[in-house]
Formats: sequence, structure tokens, C-alpha cells
Amino acid sequence: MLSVRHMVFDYPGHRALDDVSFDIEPKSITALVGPNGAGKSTLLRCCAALDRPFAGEVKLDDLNIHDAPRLAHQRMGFLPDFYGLYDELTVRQCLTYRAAALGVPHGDQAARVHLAAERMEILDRLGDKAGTLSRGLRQRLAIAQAIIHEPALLLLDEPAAGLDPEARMGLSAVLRALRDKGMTIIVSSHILAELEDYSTHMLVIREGRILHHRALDPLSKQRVRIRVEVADGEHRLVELLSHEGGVTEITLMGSTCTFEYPASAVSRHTLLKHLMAADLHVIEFAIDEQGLQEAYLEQVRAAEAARALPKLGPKIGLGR
Amino acid sequence: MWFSPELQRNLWLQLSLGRVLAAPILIGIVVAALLASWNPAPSHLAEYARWGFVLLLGLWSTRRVADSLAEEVGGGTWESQRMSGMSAWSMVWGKLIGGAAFPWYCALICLGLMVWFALKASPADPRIALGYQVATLLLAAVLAQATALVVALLLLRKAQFRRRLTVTMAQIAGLLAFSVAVYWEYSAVPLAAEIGTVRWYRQEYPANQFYLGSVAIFTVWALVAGWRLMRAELLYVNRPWMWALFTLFCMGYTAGFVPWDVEPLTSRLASACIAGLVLTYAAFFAEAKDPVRYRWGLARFKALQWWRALEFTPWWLISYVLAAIAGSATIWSIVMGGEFVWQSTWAAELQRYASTLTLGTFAYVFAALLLFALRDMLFLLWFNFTGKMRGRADLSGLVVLAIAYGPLPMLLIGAGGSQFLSAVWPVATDPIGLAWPAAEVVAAGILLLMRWRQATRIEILADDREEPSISQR
Repeated sequence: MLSVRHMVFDYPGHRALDDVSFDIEPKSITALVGPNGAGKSTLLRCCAALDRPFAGEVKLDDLNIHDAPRLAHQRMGFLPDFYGLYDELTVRQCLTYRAAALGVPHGDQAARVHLAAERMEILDRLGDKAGTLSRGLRQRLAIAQAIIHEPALLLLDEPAAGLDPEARMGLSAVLRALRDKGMTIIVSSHILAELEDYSTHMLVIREGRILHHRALDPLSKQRVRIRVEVADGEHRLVELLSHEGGVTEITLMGSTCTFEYPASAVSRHTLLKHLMAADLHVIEFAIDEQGLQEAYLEQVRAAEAARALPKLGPKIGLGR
Repeated sequence: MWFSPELQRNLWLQLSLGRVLAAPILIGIVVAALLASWNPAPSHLAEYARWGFVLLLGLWSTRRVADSLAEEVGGGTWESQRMSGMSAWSMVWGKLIGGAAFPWYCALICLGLMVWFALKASPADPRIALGYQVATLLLAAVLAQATALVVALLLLRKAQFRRRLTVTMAQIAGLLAFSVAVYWEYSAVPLAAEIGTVRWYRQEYPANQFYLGSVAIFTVWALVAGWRLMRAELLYVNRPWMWALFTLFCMGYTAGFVPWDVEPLTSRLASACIAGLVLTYAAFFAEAKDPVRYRWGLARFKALQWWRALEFTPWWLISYVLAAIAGSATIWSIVMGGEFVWQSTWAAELQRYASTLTLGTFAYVFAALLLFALRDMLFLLWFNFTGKMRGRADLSGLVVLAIAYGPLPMLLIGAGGSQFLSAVWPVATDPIGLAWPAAEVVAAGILLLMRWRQATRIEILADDREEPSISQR
């Protein structure tokens, strides 16, 4: 879907993106995470063909977006972190203008306006002026404008900034629904908790470099971390697990034990059957989904350790 | 796209039914009041209506056009406009006509009144003269608005977009363009029987026709400039062909006004050189001097990617090279005795070269002019690459240049150092006089090189990466 290769972007005296390469899978929601100043917004702006990188290329399917920015814009939507609306126009006018500006044929504009408003649940506000909307509704209108042309790729820079918890939940539902409709989404944020709700992939950026890029869906992995909780007074759990094939990295905290185990449903079913056959008082058996925050911090720690290594021993390459 | 969505949006915002009805009613009330109180002559009423047109479009619409861009940037909608599928041209005319739709609506009512009262005042006068007047006024208004949009886009590119300042500067530029064009319209006195003439390349042209043609051509250039700048905003690749063409056009246009027939070729080349130098300075102050961009361009030149390198070539350099060619041709022409004469033998040509040092001081003046301009460019770049100065480098540079070319020579003369005048003014009359600006060019070049290394040193936080390969793009 989106392919970024060896992208470099400089600001005076500072390299914001340093040899960035990654691929985004279709119909995924990628959480672009990193600390402030890591290069998230610059990366999104380059991917949106709003800034031209010094080196490297960005391809949307087979289209080099910097060679044909207008064509690329007709196939992608972008919501910057600081966005504005035409406050004096009604919601319908805002959406109609945006549809026309993005090349939607005149005859289709009304239908697209209706569809986008319906998806963002602002149908009842079509006659209201944008300036009278609440922050949450403005956010919905802004996203509706970004998706009115049914883009294949949607880029959102800090979309939940300033939203209340209810509006954030609404945003999560909206993004999941868009993904279900076949849209590929990249969402940048440094508030990891909000991304956790809907992201399928995580792209970690730090100091202008990609630290890590992986799928977050536990079922897509070959091994998962399983959490088993037993009733108080039950002490046989660790012993039983240690005799099970495939169990590794057992951690016990009180009456709860977590461990790595093959991800397949058959394997997990077999393990649970063994535990029940041993008459263990199991009260919970679940996949322990690693939190986005934990995963992010793990990657940051790993990267810092990798950076520290060359100073101690032989030089270790970082992907080059 | 036959109808720009940008125009549609502006029409929604500006031409509400209330405004559309109110404007003619208000103007009608003013006209009725004038008629009822003073009962002025129709010719006076035509004049008042013309002033109404001039004020509405010269003052108000230029501000509105610049403000329509400033509102986008300030309101955070500019990025979504850049993300749209509209072409650069569609956005330019959408903003030019749409951004000032209401002032245009009011001004066109005034123009209609002007024509009505002018015809009523002297129905026997040739209507073609009134046609020239109307055409000049309309073109001047478009020129003014396009100039205001160009200035606003330039300031946007320079990342010095302070809303009030930008809008005011764009308005002033637009007003100046309008004044120059309308001054022509007034000075040509198209309604009068006697129409003056303009001499251009030894041909006499009726002044009103020449003015109208010139305004039309410069209006087209202003629209082209707006289109090119908008293209750059929309991230299209812009190579500097248009700027080179504009520089050549201006050099050729000004060369045509040389009023004397003695040594016309030398005079025309000299005039073209000066026009090129003026555009060099204008381009320098108009452009953003981002060291990163210079670095990118230089990297592509080093990688022999000429085509891509052109994209980063600064406009001032294009104008300077063309001015230098015209200047060299001027010197050559002076050396050759004022006209280009093809020498029959190489010996005669060598003799001509040898006599350079004794032929005409004007040759030295033009060589000095080119050296001083180069020195100024290098010095101003040095200013711009100074990190702390970057935000106000152009203004500071202007102040320094004003002092260098104004009070400094006066002080030198006052202190009895006239023999050193060629160090601060392009007044060289011999090769030694040229040595001063040449040495200054070298000094400015060394300073710039030192600053350049500092300004383009990239802080790569992670480790000891090499420079990225630019062969990927």
C-alpha cells in the first residue's frame, strides 16, 4: 500500500528523518509513536506529499507521490495536528467544497457528502455552521472532509489531542469502522493509551529513525503470552507448567502466572485441557495482550541498549 | 476545471443575498444624494465613479486577496487546501476573483456608472478612447491583485508569515502596481483629443496603446508568477525557466527605452545589464534563503544531476548570470568602439583586447557594478546563513547596504579619501579601481564559505551515518 524507502529530511542544523524505510500493509491501522520531536509529523507530512524529502521516495501502490502530488492527494486523506475549518460555512458546504476540491464529480458530490456525514455521525448537523460545533464534532467534520473522496490511505496527526474521553472513544470506533471499510490508516500520537484501542501495527520512531515496526495483533504471532490465574492456595501451577512442552519465560505474581506459549488455538486448547485434567483451580485463562505502551518502551529500551553496545564492544550495524 | 471550487467557496462566503442587494442600494443612495445636493456635471460624476473603482480595487480588493491567503494560513486550512486535487491555476484564479468577489462587485457597479456618466457628458467623443480607459482600469486592477497575491505567497515561502504585516505589505505592493498602471491611464488622457506617443526601439507608438499593451503584458507576468508560486506551494517541481524568461523580458523591455541613437547597442546592453542587476537584488530579497535548500541543490550539482539541481537554483543567480552576460557584452561593445563589429583578422582582435585598458571608463564601471553586485549577494547570503540572524537577515542586510552605499562614501569623501572611493562605490576608472571590489568579493566568499560549513552541518543524533545517497530520487 504505502512504501517508504530511504527517506531523509533535514531542517537547518538538524536531520529530522534519517534513512527511514518501511511498508504499510493494506487495511491496517498503524500507530506511529515516538516522543515529541521524534519526526512523526515530518514523516506524515512527507508521506502526505506536503513536504519534499531530500532523498528517498514514497510510493502509494505504484505512484511516486512526490512526482505526482495532485494524483496522490486524490487517493489519500490527511488531517494535520493543527487543522482548521471554514467556520462561516455550513457542514454541508464544507463537505461539498472539499469533495469538489478533491475532484469528486459534481453529480456524486451530494451522495458523498451524505455518506461521509453518515459515517462520522454528523448527518443531523449538515445545516449547522462549522463554527458552532463542539470540539468533538469539529474533529468528526475534519475527518469527514479527509475521507470524503474515499481515500485508500488516511493519515492522522494527533487526532485525539484535546478531545474528552467520550469523544476519544467515538474516534476509536470511527477509525475501526473505516478500517473495516477497507481504508488503510496511519495515526500519529504520543498518547499510547488511545492508540491501543484500534491499532493493528506499531511503528516506533525516535530521533528521526524507525526503531521498530511490527504487527500488534497477538494472533498473528507464532507465540503469545498467556496469563493464568488460579484460586488462592493453589501452588501447583508453576510445577505443572514447567512440565508442559512449549512453555517458556514463566513469571509468577501471587496467584497469577504469565508465560510464552504457541499461539495456535489447538495448542492453547490442549494446555487448558491438561490444566483442567490436573484438577487445577483455574479461574482465568487468557492471552496477555502486551500493552502498546509496554511494547513501545520495550523497543526504546532495546534501541538504547543497541546504541550503547558499539561503545563497549565491536561495532554493530543498525540496518545498513 | 471550468469552475474553481475555491471560487465557489469564496462566493458562498462573500456574496450573500443581503450583500448583493445592499451594494447597489448604497451606491445608488450616494449618487442620488450627490445629484440632489450639488447636481454635479456628468463628467464630474464619471470622475467620482472612477475614483470609487480605483479605491475599491486598489485599496480594498488588494487587501482582501492577500487576506484570503492569510486567513487560510492563520486558520489552519491552508494545509488541507494544499492537500486538495485543485490545480495551481484553479487556486490562483479562485483566490484572485473569489477572494475579492465583493469589492469587485461594488467596483464593477462604479465602473458601469463611470461609463454611463462619461457617455452622457460627451456623447460625441470617440468611444474607443473610453474603451482604452476601461480596459486599462480593469487590467490595472487585475495586475494589482495578482501582485498582492504574489507578495503574500512569497512571504509565505519565506516563512515570515505574520498576518497583519504580510497583508499590509501585499496591499502596498498591489497598490503600487495599481498606481503605476493607473498613472499611465491618467497621463495618457485617453478622453482628450491629443494622445502622446512612446518611443520604443526607434518606433513611435500611441501612448494609450503602448500603456495598455504594457499593463496587459505585466498583468500576464504577475499571473504567471502567482501560478508558479502556487505550484511550488502544491509541491510541483518548478525549474527557473519562467524567472529566466521574465528577466530576459525585463532586460529587453527596458533596453527599448534608450532614448538616444548614439551607440544604441552599447546603451541598450548597458540598460539590460542594469535591469538584470535590479532583478538580481529583487529576486534575492524575494526568495527564502534556506541553507538546507542550498545544500540540497549543491549536492545534486555535485552528483551531476543537473536536471534536478535546476530545481534548487536560486532566482538571483539566474538574473545575475544574465546581467553578467549583458554586462560583459556591454564592456565588449565599449571595447569594440561602441558597436559589435566583427574583426576580420585575429591580430586586429588581439589589438582590440590589448586596448581594453585604455578604452572608455564605462567598461570599468560595468565591471565594478557586476563585482559589487556579486559581493553584495555573497555578503547577504552570509547574513542569511547566520543562525541567530536568519529571521531578520534581509532587513539587516538592507540596512547595511544602505549604509555602505550612502553615508560611507560621503564620509570617505569628507575625510579626503576620494582615491579609495572605488572600494565602496562602482566608480572604477582603471584596473586598480577594480581590484577593490574584486578583493571584497574574495573576502565575502571566504566569510560565506566558513558560515556555510557551520550552517549546513547536520546534527545526526544517532550515530556516525554517512551522507544519504541522493541517487534514489
